[in-house]
Amino acid sequence: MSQRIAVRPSLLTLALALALAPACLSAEWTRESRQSPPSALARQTLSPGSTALSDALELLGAPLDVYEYRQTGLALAYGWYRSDAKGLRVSVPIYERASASVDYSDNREGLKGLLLLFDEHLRLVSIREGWLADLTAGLERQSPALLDDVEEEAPPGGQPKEPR
Amino acid sequence: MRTRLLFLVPLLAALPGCLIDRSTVNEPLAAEAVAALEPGRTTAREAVALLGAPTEVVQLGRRSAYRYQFETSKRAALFLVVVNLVGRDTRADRAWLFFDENDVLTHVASTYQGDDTRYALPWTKLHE
Repeated sequence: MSQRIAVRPSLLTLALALALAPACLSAEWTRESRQSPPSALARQTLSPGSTALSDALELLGAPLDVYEYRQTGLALAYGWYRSDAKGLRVSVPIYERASASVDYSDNREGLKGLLLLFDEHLRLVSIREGWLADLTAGLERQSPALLDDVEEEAPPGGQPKEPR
Repeated sequence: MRTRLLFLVPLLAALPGCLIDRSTVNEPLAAEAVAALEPGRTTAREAVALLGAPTEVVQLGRRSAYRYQFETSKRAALFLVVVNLVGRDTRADRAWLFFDENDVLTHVASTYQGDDTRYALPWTKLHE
C-alpha cells in the first residue's frame, strides 16, 4: 500500500529558500578566548621604583613576550584576548572568489596587554596598559649574536667582540 | 512513531553541522624540568640539555632570554542552516629563562595553562 505525501507549495518554497540561504546569508555568534589577563590584585601589587624583575615574574608568571628596553633594560609584555561577537552576514558574489588565511598564533592584533618596563638594574620603572600592538610598537627586538660571527669579528690576538 | 521521527529528522539534519577541532604547537612543557633549573647556577647549555631547543631566543643587550612554549587551541562549532555558533579557546604553557652575559641563569618564569583549554560553544563563558 502506498501513501502519497502532499507537499504544499509554500512549504516547498520555504525549504528551498532555507537550503539556498547559507550561501548568501548567515547569522554568527562567535566567542573567543586567548590567555587570561593578570589578576587585578597582582597588578595593584606592582610598584614602579620598588618592584624587582623577580617579584614581577613571580606575581604575573611568564610573559607573552620580552623586549630589549633602552639597550640595558628589558620589557615584559603580557597579552590576552576576549571577544564575543554577534552578527549577520550577507554576501553577494560579484566576481571570482578569493580565499585568505591568517595564522592565529602570530596574530597580535586585538590583544589587550600590559607592558612592564625595567631599567638596567632590573627595577620596574613603568607600567603601561592598552592594546599590545601599540604598547610594543617602539620596542626593539634583536636576534641573538651568533658565536661564529663574534669570533670572525675578533681582531687577531684580541678578545672577541661582545655580543650586541 | 511519527513523533520520534519529528525529533530524529532535525537531529540528523543538524549533525553534519557539528565541529570540534584541536590544534597544538610544540610539546607540553615539563614542569618538573623547569623546576629543576637553579638561578645563579644553571647555564644556558645545561638548560638546553634539560629542556631541549627553545622556541625563541631574544637578545636583551648583554643578557638573553629563552622562550619555551606549548600552545593549544580548541574550537567547537555548530552550523544550523543560517546560524553559525563558534567558540574557540587558546591557552599555553610558557616559560621564559633569563641569562646574564655569561649565560648563567638569573630568572625563570613559567605559566601552565595548556591543560585548561576547553571546548565550548559561545554561550559558555570561559576562564572568567
